Amino acid sequence: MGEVSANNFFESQTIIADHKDLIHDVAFDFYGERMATCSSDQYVKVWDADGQGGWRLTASWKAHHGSVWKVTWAHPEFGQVLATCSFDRTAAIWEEVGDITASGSEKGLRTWVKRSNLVDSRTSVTDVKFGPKHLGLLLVTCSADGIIRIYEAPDVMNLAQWTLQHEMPTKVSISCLSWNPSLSRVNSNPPMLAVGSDEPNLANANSQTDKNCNGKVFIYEHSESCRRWAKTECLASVVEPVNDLAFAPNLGRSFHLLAVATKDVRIIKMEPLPEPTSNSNGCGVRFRSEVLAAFDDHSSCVWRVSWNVTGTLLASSGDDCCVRLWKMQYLNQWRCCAVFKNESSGNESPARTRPRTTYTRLAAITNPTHMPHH
Amino acid sequence: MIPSNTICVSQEGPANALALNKDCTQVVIAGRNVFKVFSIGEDEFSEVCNLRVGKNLNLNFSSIDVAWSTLEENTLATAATNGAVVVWNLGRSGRSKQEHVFSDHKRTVNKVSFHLTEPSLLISGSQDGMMKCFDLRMKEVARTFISNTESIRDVQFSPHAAHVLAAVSENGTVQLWDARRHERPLHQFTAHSGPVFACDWHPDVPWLATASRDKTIKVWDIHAKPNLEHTIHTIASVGHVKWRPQKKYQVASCALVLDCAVHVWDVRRPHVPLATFAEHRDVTTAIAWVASPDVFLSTSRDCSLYRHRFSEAAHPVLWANPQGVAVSARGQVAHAAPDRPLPAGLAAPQAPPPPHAPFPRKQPTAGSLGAGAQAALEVAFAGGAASTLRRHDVRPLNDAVIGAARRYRFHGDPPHVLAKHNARVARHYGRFMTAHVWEVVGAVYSARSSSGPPPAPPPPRDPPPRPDPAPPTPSHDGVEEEREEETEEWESRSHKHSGVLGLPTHTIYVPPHRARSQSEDGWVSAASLHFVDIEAAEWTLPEEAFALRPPPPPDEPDHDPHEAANSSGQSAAAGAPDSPAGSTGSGSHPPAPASPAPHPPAPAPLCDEGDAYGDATGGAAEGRGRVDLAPLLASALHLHAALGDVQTAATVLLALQEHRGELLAYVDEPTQEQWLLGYMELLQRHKAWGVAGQVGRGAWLGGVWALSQQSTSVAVCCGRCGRRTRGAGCDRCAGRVPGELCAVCRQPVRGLYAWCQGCSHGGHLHHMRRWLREHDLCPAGCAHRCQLG
Repeated sequence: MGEVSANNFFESQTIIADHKDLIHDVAFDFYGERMATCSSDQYVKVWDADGQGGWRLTASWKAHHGSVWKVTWAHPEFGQVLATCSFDRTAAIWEEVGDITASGSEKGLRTWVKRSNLVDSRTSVTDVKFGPKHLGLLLVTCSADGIIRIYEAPDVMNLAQWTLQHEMPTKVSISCLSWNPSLSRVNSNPPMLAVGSDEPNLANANSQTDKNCNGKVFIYEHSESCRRWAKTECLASVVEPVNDLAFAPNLGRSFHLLAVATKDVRIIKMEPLPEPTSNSNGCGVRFRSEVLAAFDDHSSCVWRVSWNVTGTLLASSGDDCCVRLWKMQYLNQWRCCAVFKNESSGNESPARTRPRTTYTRLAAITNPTHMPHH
Repeated sequence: MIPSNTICVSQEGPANALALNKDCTQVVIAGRNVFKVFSIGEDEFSEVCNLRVGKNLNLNFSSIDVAWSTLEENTLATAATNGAVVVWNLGRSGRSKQEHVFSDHKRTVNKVSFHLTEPSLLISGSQDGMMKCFDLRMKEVARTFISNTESIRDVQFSPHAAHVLAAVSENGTVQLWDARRHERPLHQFTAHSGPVFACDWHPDVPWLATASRDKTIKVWDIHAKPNLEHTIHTIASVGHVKWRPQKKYQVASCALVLDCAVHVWDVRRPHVPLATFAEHRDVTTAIAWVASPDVFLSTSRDCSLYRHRFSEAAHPVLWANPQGVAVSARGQVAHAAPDRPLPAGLAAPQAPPPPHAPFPRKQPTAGSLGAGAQAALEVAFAGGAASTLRRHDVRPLNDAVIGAARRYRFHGDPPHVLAKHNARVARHYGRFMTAHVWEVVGAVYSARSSSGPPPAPPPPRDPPPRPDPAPPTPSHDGVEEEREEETEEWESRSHKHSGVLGLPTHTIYVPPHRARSQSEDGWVSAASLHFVDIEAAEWTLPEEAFALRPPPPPDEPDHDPHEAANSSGQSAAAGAPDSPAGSTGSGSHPPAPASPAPHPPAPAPLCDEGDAYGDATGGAAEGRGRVDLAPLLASALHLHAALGDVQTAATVLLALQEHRGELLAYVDEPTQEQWLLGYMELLQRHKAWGVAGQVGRGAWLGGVWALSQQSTSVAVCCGRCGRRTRGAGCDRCAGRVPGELCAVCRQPVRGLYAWCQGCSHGGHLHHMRRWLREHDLCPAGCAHRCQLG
C-alpha cells in the first residue's frame, strides 16, 4: 500500500470491549469524553475517558432482545441520555442515574435506566438519532420497512413520555439517517434530514421503481407553513445502496456537506439555491448538489462515515477493515491523510481455535508479534 | 408475489401444525378448520385429500397437532382440543378416514408423536399434565406418565435411545422419561424461566433444543447429566424449533407472537440469525424440514403453506453494519471492526431474482446470495462473532487548539492591537492562514484608527468582544504537513504582486514588513495587497454579480457599529449611514448620530461572495481615497468558515468591536448567527465555558446574546420566613432583619452564602456543611434532602 502508515503520528490503542458479537456502532458524547458501544450480543456498554488517554468501562447492560444496531447520545443539556435501536423492532431511551441512596464503595456506581421504549415499528429499527438541540428533544428513527418516525419529548424533564409527531413512509428500506446539524432556527435553515436507503438495485426492477429518481439518498425538510415533513430532494448521484451517511457539522458554511458511505466514500456538497427553481419534473429544486469526492480506496463496501466537530475531517471504514481519514486540501480537494489498518484482519487462526475467548484474542492483537500459539 | 423458488398454497383456514410422510412427498396440515393432505410437487402443492369431510364435523376434526407415522405410509394422528387423540388411516376406503379415537385425556392435547422405530407406539402430551403412550394395535393406552406439571407442551422420542422421550411443560421444566417406566422421569430439570413451548432432538448428537416464552432457545447436552450447551436469544417467544438436517449447529425456529419470520440460527453465534425467511404475513405456526438441509415447509396463521428454499434466504448478517467509526470532539477516532470480516464479495449482493416488490417488506436482500457464497457465509458466520475496538488518538492537535484559545488576549484594546496579538498567537501555533488574516485586520484597522477619529466607546451592553482562539486550519490531523505547505506558499507568494482586486480571494496575505509600513503610511493600498489563494482558485464568481449590486455601504470611520448593529432597523429607516446588515432589532441605543453620511446609504446589502467582490471594486474606487477592505475581509471570513474554521470568522468579527458594522454588511444575519453559535458550540465541546460565555456576551445578535441570559436566575429562600426571595432580601422581612439569615444559626450571613439548589434554603457555608454531614434533611425543616453544590 502506498499510504504512509499513520501509526507514527497517531497513538493507537486497542480497547478490550469484550462484546460477544460484532460491535455495530460506536458513539462519542458531545464532549468526546464518553463513548458508547453496541453490539449484536444485545449489550450496550458505556466507557468513560480516564483522563490519561484510556477508557474505562462504567456501565454494561443488556439493552434489547435483538442486535443493537445504533447507539447515540443526546445533547448533554438534556442529561446523560442514550438512544438505541435494535433488530427487535424497538428503540429505547436510556438515562444514567446515580444511585443516591447507595453508600460506601457503591457510591460512585451509576446505572442506566430505560426511560422509554418506542415500539411503533413493525420491523427492525435501523437507525436512531437525536435532533439538533435548538429544536428541543427530538428523536428520529427509521426502520427496514422504510418508515421514518419523528418523536418528541414535550417535557424535556420527562424522558418517559415521547409522542410520535410525524410518520413518513418511504417506498424503500431505510438504513441510515442524519440530521442536518443546524444551530439555530432561522428561516433559511428549516429542520432537515438526510436518509439513505440500502435497497438493493434489482437488475430488472429499477425501471419500474422510482422513475423520477433512483437515487438512494433523500432529503426531507420540515415545512413550517404546512407543519409537516416532505421529501424535497433526491440525490441522483448516489445510486448504490447506502450504508451510512452524515452531515458535517455546519459551522457557518453557506453550504452543507454530506458524507455518504456506499460503494465508495462520497462527499457531497449541497448548496442551497436562493430561489427554488423548477427542474424538468416541475417540482422545486432546493439545492445544487455536487459530488466533491468519491473514493473507492476501501476495497468494496464502505460501512461508516463520521465527521469531526468542525467538518474538516472525515473518517470512513470499509470492508478492508481500515479506517481512512479524509481531509480537505486546497482547491476543495479531499485527500486521504491517514489509514489505520486493523492488524487483526486476515489473522484467522486464533479466532478459529478460540472462538469465544475475546479477551485473549484482543490482547494478542495489540502485539501481533507475540501471538500465542495453541 | 413470492420469490421464484418458494411455493405457496392458501388454505381456507389457518393451520396449527403440519407433518410430512416418511418419504417427504406429502404433507398434511391440520388446524381448527382445515385438515388436508398435499403432495409436494416440483413447483406446486396439489391437494391429495381433504380429511375434514363427513356429516358431523365435531371437535375431533379440529386439531392442535398432527403427526405422520414415520413407518406406516397411511397412518396419521391428530391431537384435538377436546382431549381426543384421533388416528387416521389414509388407506381406508370411503370418505371418512378416521380409524380410532382415544378419548383418554381430560383436557386439550397439545402434541402427538410417533415412536421412531415402533410403528404401533404413539405418545401424546396434554394440558392435563399427562402423557399417554398408545398402542395402536391394541387400541388402548399402554402407559400413562404423570408429569406433575401443569401441562405438557411437547413430547418427542429420542432418536438416539429407543426408549427415551423428552417432554417439556409450561412450568419451564424438561423431563426425560424411559418409555418403559412410568413411575418417575429419568431426569428432570428447569430449563427456562417461562413456559417451554417446544423441543427438538438433534438428529445426530444427543442434544435437545428447547424453545420458550422467555425468548430463548436453549440447547442441552443430554448425554449424561443434562448440561446447557448454547443459548440463543431471539426477539420474541419461541413457538417451534427444528434442527436443520445435516447441519450440526443449525436450528430453525419460529415465534409464537410478533415475529412472522422463520429464522435459522447457528448455535455458535447465538445473537444473530444466519438466515431469515420472511414470506409469512402472520405468525408461523409450524415448520418441518423436507429431509434435506435446503428445503423446509412452514404454515402460518395467515392461512398459507410455504415451501422455502434455503437459497431464498435473507441473511441479516449481511445488512448488519459490521463496523463502527466515530470521531470525538477531542479528535479521537474509535473504530470497531470485525475480527474476522466476512469473505469479500459476500456483502455485494448480486442482482436478486425477485421480480416483484415483496410487499410486506421485512428483509431488504432476500435471496441475494448464490449457493457458493451462501456456503462460504455459513462457514464464516460462526466464527466472525467479535469485534476489535480500537481508538486512534490525535490529541496533540487539540492541545494546540485549546492552547491557542487560552493564549489569545482580547480585551480592551483597539482592534488592531488585538489583531496583532492574535496574529502572533496564531503564528505561534502554526496557524499561518489565520495569522495572515489577523495581520490584515491589524493593518487595516491601525490605518483606520490613526487616520480617523477614535471610535465611539462601545455601548455598555456590548462589552469588548473577545475574539478568540482561532485555530483555523481545517484539520485535526496533519498539522505539520499543512504548516509546511503554507510556509512554502508564503515564500512564493510574497514575491508575487497580483494585486487584482476583482479576483476572488479568500486569504489576503500581507507580509508583515509590508503591513507595518502600510500602517505607518496610514492606509493600505489595494494594489499593495497580495492575494494568495491557491485554495480559492476555483472560487470564481458570476460576472453579473458585480454589475447588479448597489454601491457598498460607506466606509464610516467614526460611526459606532455597535449601535448600528443594535438598532439596525431604525437606522435603516432613518437613512443612517450605518450598515444595515448587522441588525438585531433589539438594540436599546439609537443609532449614533455620527457624521452625516457622505455616501448614499446602502439600500440592502446582501452578502455573498459576489456582492463582496462587486463592492470591493466599487469601494476601492470610492471617495476619500480610502479602500474599502470590508468586502475582502468578509470574503476571507467566508472562506475560513467554508474551510471549517469558524473560529477565525467569529473571532475577527468579535475583535473588530465597534468597527464590525462595516463588515457585517457583507455577511447576512443567519450566517453571523451560525458563526457565533458554531464557535460557541466548539468551545463548549472543549469545555472552554469561560471563553464560550465571553463569546455570548460579546455577541451583537440578540438571539446569541440572549443565550447568556438563559437559566441564570437563582432561587433563594428567605432564611427567616422561608419564602422565595427575589433579588436581595425578602420583601416581607425587609427591614426587620438585615440581609439573609442562615438556616442553621439564624444569624445574618455576611460573605459566602451556600444553599441547596433543590429547596433554596441555605446559610453560612460552614454551618451548612456541618449540618449536612450529620443530617440528610434541610436545616430549615422543609423535609428536602439537601445537597450542597
